[in-house]
Amino acid sequence: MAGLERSEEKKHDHALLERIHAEKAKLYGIAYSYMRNEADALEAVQETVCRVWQKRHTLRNEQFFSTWMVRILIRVCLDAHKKRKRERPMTLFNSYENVSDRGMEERLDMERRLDQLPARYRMIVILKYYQDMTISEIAELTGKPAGTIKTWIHKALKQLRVDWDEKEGRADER
Amino acid sequence: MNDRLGKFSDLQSVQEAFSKDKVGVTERGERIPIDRLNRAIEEGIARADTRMRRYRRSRRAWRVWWAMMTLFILITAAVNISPAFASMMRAIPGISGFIKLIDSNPAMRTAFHHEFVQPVHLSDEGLAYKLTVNGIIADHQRLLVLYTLEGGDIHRSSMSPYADITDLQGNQLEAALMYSYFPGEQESEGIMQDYIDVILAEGVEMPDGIVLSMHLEGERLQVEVPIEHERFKDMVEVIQINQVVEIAGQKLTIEQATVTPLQVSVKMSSHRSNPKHINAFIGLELVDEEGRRYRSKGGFGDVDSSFTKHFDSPYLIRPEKLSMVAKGLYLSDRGLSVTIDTEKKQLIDAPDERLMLAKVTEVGDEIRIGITLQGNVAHNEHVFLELLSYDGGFRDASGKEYKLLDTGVRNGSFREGSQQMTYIIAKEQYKQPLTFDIQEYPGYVLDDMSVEIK
Repeated sequence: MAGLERSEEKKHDHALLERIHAEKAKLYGIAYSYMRNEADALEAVQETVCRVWQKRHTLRNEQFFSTWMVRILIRVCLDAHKKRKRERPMTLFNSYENVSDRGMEERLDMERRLDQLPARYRMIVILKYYQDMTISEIAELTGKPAGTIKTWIHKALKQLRVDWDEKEGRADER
Repeated sequence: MNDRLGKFSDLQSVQEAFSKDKVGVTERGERIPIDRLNRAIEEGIARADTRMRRYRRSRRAWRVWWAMMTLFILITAAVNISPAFASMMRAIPGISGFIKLIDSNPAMRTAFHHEFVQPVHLSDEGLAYKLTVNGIIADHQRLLVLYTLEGGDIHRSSMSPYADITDLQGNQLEAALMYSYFPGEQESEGIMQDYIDVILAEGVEMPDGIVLSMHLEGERLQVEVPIEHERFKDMVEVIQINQVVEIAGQKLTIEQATVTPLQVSVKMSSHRSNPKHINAFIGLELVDEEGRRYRSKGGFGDVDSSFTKHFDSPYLIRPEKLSMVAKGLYLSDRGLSVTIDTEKKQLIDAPDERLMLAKVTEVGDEIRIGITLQGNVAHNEHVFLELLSYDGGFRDASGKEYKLLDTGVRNGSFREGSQQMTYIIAKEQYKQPLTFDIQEYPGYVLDDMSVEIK
């Protein structure tokens, strides 16, 4: 009986590994958008896979696997970003391999501004403007009400010194 | 570094900036280093296996440690930890961090010793923080919610989360909420363990469940907790007393006591004919036949009128006899007042030199009056006096009456035996000076009181 259970468990783990590989491009894309360099993005994916693997028996509904895994990735990125800020707050020159000089300074400026946002605001901005997610999708992913997401975007943009009209915000919701 | 982007003027300009930035970020993000990514996935799984092995080793070590500690404690008999207590500790994940908290609170300590705890272990996780309700202790009158907050920058001393408790239908509970702010076992950054003490108003029934909401740093976390009424449904004793007592020249009727595992509520009323205003009791507590004391934890109502006092409960210990005792009363004369000229910022008249005008300031549409009161300390107790009534009023020199502002905050702080308060009135053209009726003033009389509860 024990042998049969182990065999079932192995099958389940194999299926889970396949699912992780199926989502790896998406995971890396989000991690890279947030961390803005390859090494940190890979580390975020590695840590996410670690946590997913540790908790793999706690997922109750398989159809939510993708959302669940991205949520864990978001948490990992937030923690990593805070840790990075504490350890090397001023170093922002690691992001731009193989990029032409033109526009580089603008990108560094943008990175610095994004870096100054609170972790959760930065994440919401990344999901919306870099991953093209709608407010509803972000709300579902984070488990927060759509109103809260809109408020956070508003505050993030305000901190980036932008006037964001509520009407434009509603028009922006897809 | 120069700020190349300059100031964003509108949404369009920031969207353009994001779009431009996104092109570069996406290009690089799409150049996926497949080999390194696959290796990251493999290493992630290996890391998980390592952590789980380490966790299982530390759990074994923890169980060995706990067994040794339990043995040591039983041998030395220095601290009374019952098998029931140890059993409760093991039944509730994460509860080990609450040891000091539990020991500091008599109700919790007794509940744990008698296994009167409902394990919960439900969580809500946001982007940055996670809230877990580890367990609850409930009876018909009172609820203790033990929770853990985790997140990158959480630390006990650095934040005070705002908690909101409703029933399962979203209705606010008619209750007083208190936090412990007692140092927990884990003081490190990133975790905080605490409890919320919920004392229901008189006549309010304990609901079938609660929703605990915590608001912190822009996040709102919610955990829905069912309350298992079966644990305590028959655990209530109502004792009719109806006895008149006299203390320090004042008469009180002790009406009834309601005893449940976590709380004793004693309902009382002061006689209308009492010559002085009763402000508070001195040394009010319950005592059983073994001399065990159950301190007063506050209550509801007006001590000079009709009120209920709450105490820690001996219910689970089941004493033979129980008495309510006090050492005296804080009292003040009736009909006192204080007169202030808010334009000249002068104290015109006060009952005596113990009341001082600290400052008068104008802030927007308000006038803020700072007052210092001294001499309210007796028997090493701090008693906060409501100098002016919460919904009190005042009159100007022409006799026209006004109210203290609702938005005004009667702040108090204790410093070296004195009490500082701020009262706020509307900024108007008053006929000076202004006279405020005093509700409570320093003064006390020592007189022993003892009333048999059972």
